[in-house]
Amino acid sequence: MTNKKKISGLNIAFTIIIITEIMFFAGLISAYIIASAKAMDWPPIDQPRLPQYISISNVIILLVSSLFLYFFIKNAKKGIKDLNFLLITIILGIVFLVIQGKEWINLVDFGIQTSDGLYASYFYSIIAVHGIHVVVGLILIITLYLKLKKTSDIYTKLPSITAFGMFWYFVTLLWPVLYFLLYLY
Amino acid sequence: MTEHKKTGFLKRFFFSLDHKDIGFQYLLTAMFMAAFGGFFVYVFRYNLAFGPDDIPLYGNLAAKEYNQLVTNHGAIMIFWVGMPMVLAVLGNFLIPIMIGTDDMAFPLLNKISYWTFLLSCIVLLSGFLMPTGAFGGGWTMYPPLSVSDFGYNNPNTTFKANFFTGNTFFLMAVALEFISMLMGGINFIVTTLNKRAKGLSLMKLPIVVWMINIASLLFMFSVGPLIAGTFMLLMDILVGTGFFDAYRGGDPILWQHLFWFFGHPEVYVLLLPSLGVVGEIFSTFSRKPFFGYKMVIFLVLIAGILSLVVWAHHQFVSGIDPGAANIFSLLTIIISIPFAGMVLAYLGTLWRGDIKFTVPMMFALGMLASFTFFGGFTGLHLGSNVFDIYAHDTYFVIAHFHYTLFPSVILGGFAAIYYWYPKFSGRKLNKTLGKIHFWGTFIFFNSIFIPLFWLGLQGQHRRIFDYSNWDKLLMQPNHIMARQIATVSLIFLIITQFIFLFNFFKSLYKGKVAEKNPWKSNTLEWQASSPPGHGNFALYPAVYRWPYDYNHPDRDTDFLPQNEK
Repeated sequence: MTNKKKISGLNIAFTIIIITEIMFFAGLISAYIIASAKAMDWPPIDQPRLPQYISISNVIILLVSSLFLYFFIKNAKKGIKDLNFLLITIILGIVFLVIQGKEWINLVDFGIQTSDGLYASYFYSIIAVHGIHVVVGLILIITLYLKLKKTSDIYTKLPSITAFGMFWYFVTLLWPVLYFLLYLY
Repeated sequence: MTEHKKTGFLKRFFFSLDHKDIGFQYLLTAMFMAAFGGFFVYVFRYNLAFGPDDIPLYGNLAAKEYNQLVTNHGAIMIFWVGMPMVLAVLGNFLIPIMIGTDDMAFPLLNKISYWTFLLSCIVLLSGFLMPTGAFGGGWTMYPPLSVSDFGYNNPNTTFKANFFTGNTFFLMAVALEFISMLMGGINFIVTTLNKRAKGLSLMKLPIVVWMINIASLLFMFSVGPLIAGTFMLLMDILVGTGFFDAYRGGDPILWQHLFWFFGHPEVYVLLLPSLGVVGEIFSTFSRKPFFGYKMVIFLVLIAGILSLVVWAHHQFVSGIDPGAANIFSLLTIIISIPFAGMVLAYLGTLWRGDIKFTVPMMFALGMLASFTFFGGFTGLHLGSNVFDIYAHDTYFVIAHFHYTLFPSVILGGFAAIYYWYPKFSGRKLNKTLGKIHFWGTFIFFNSIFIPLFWLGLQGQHRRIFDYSNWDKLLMQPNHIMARQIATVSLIFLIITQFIFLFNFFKSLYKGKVAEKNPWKSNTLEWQASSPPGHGNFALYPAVYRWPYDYNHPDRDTDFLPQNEK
């Protein structure tokens, strides 16, 4: 057994974390879907509409950031250290957070409060939880970036590159699903 | 790899990264929390039998305090005694040494996991210091009881006032405990997959390692929705969202779904590791190979998958769709098939064995017997919604789930402690005291809960503080007598545990020195010295066979360690 090539422990650990996360979001999303199916009008008539068209730019931003991360990991597996790709990923992630934060402030100004009812409760909670995940993913990738800047040997860092990358893929691929459910559904 | 060094007390118990030390820290913390859980149950059982006034060591009990004590007894015994005892203690102590390696895959994560667990204990207990008192809405935290005084329902309260309540602290403690167990579980699985000794394939692993890993996986799969639910409940209390508020379109039953989706697999998380312990002990003390090793592993996997789809059997009286209730009934009853297969395999291991009645063997037999005959069989009845609707809110359910959890956590936990004590301390426990402890625990445990089965079938409701307020409610002399038998037995059960504590701590320093392999067992941990030094093995063992080669026909000795050719 030990002679075979093993998957690194960090990758197994992140796979398990992502499974737990999927179950976590499955709990939230299924609660949301059932709540919306039970309601008479969804979204409620007296609530302001959400900005669907500005927000779709955010979907694109996150997906593009994942694409650049994919290029980076592909190169890293060949031994090429191209940190600019990683930098673009980080910048796009920050841009996403800024746009999303601005939208939140706008919505609060429009008068959507968490205590207004189920619709706003779910909207704010799910967006906030996803936002926290983006922040955590960014912290992981930024620490990776800083560590890679110091080392020249990229192979030793490959386990953490793939593991953190996996987490970022998860966060970015989750967002289109949430966008569809919260803004369009 | 390294020589065993004597380290200072502080260093060993607070900052050590060694898996054995962390396991011991978990054990001591769990025992500390068990003292609280045990004291709480003593107070409220005394009240049920003899009335709320002048309870020795406590004083007068108010109805609100009764609710707080019951709530915290349940939560402590499941999350702060059960989870650390069967998962963290056994996993930490056994996995690295049984798979023949020096430590966990992530020792630092392991330490952080323990610190988080300790923090969760402190947060939970500090709930009692809050101005509104500890949380008293039941350990299942059902809304609206868990939110009614807070948030939207009471617009005068501020965020700060909502935060410093027993409810918030209880929820935060539960969330921290889950995070701690998640870190631990990740460590167990990665360690088992990546750090096994040379030649130790998955199908040669000791059964208890399999069980701890399956339990960890089950925990990972099921805990997500409950973390989501806990988050939503905290939002309801703190920010005033309305997820579980029926008045604003929310759904209180949603919480029950999120909770029990985790809650049912949780029972198996507590049960499986201790079934693994029982399996090890049966094989060792019957001097026979484990019967149906592969069958048991696959049956456990099937039971684990099934356990994810039976949660609504806790909600038959909550007003769920009767059609759905029938399906959940059916699935619940189906789950008994894999467990019946496992019990068969265990009995097959004992069958015609050369059984040695040592203390761990007695606890293991007691665990399997009481779990199967009372916990399992009454579970079969309660799984049927037709019966459950009548029994659900009675003491029948209380007796049922104590017959599943007490054997798996306490009896299984004691079996494990008595079995591996010589290994982790290097000394032996006193055998006579151990036997007295076993018979005291086993007899008084049964005499607590058999009367409760009867009371439940008589219709005694399970959430009442003072029966004397309702003359018609089971106040005949024999009902009062049954309650008193249960309470007196409980007091004796608690007293019996002091024998164990005395034995445990005295033997730690004064016990007979144990040899390397006192039970003549096959698994790898018995090849390390007792107690194992830092790094466990002087030379990493290589494994040539499965762990249950007892009475091998080619050998003169009746055991054959895994690392012998």
